[in-house]
Amino acid sequence: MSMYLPIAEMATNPFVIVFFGALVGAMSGMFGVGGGFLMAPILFFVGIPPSVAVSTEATQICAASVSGSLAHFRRGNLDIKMGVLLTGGGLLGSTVGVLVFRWLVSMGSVDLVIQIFYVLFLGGVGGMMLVESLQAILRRRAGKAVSLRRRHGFMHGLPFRTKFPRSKLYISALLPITVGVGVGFLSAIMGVGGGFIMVPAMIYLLGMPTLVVVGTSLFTIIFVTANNTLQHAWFNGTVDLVLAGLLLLGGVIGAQIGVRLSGRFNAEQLRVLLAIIVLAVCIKILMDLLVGGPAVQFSFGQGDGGHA
Amino acid sequence: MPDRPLRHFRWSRRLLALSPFPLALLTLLMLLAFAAAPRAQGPDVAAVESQVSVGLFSGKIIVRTFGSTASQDVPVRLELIGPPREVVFTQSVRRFGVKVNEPIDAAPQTIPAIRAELSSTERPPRPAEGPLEAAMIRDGALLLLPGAIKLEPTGLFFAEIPLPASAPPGRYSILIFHDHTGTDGAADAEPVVLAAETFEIRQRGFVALVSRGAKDYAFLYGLLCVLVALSAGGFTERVFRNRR
Repeated sequence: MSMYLPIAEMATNPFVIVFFGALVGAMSGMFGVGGGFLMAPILFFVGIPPSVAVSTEATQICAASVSGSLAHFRRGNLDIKMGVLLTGGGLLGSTVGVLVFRWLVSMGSVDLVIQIFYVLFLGGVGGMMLVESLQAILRRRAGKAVSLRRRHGFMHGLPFRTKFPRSKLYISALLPITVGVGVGFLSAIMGVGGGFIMVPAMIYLLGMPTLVVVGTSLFTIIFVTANNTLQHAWFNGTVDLVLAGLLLLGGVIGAQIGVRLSGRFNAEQLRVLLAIIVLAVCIKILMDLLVGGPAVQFSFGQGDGGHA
Repeated sequence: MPDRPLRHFRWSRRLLALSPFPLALLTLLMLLAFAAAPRAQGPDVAAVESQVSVGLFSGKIIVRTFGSTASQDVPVRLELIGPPREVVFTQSVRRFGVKVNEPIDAAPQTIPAIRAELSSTERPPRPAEGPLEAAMIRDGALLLLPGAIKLEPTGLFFAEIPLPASAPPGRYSILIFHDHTGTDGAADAEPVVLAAETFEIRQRGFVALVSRGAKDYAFLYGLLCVLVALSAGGFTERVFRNRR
């Protein structure tokens, strides 16, 4: 059975898309990330044109983030004030990111830049997460208390300090705005929600409590991905509503399975698992960049300036 | 009464005066007809008919072409050319050990979205010309199908061209040739065109609605996508709220 995707202009097996949507949704439910960094390579593998995959994925992540952040809001795990500042920075960053993306397309080096960004950030975040989680597991086994150390650096001495009662923080408003700008920029360049960068940044840079981090991260991702969806649809015409629907269906089912599975692991084990997945994706991209393939190989793609 | 013969005479003169024009027109039409004839009916062709039918079968667009030729001993070749598509050809090269895709400036920027070349003989219609065509074959944009045309001893021929369901909408043309290449030692002889057919692949229903909406009302379509995402997320949370 196959289904025609009107914007991707190709037929695909809807069950395959729903399955992969569920797989990534399960990871999203388990680890509290949007899953865009995993979904993009999977959709490329299925044969969806990269520009359509990146744009449509933003729609799916937006929907998943609405669902997740509403659930966290009802539980009181959402810092709206922090979220608004992160969102403001995120929208600014994603707009700049889209402009830089267009410049890179005109220079003809967008593929290389995307791959290098993926390697750097996946490698950095995955490595940090793996080391930190393994240390926590070892400390737990040794019978020592597990706590996240909050370092007081120069960032906490910046001006425009304001209170964030929900996060129990008194820090400069410039910090969340800067984090938002960075995440929005990377989101536009890499075609991801930015959760896998924002969550560690909120924990390690801003010092937010883990309980509030996931809900606030998802709240910010809603607006960043909605902005990305609108811009991609408006300027590039690459958002496939049918593909988004299939991904949503799978994602919803998978997220529920993921939430149930997450109950079987403790936080450190989950972080180790996520770190291994992130590092595996990083190594795959690095291998593609450095190893294998003939010295000169010819290929072609859409001439519309997509991610291809 | 005396006026009548005179009037009759005048009309006859007018007819005589006009007669060169219909004659010239008739001659011109005859010349045009004869001028067009050699292209459609070469020395090997007495009568040619062809027809194309297009259908969607199990996820593939099947283009069926059938027709007849009077010279069944001469191989038949068929070319299907899809609507134009803008592309960027790239070559993967290593820069400081890192694989980089670099655009090829000299490569064509517009190619047919799909091009198929079929022959009635087992030898390929032609070998792939260079690495760019090899890349097109790998991507499914160029199909070289030897022996795909069934040529009967009676002169009837039949071919099925399996296009992927991703074949883009637009106007497709089919050219049917008599392929003289290699039959009488004239390797570079121009093939005689037997017939040309066109058909159009169009999107219909919901698919057409989404496709047209995304192109013609891009901003509204984008807003709709955002609204769908927001409401789907809200709906999902509502459905699973009580199950958590």
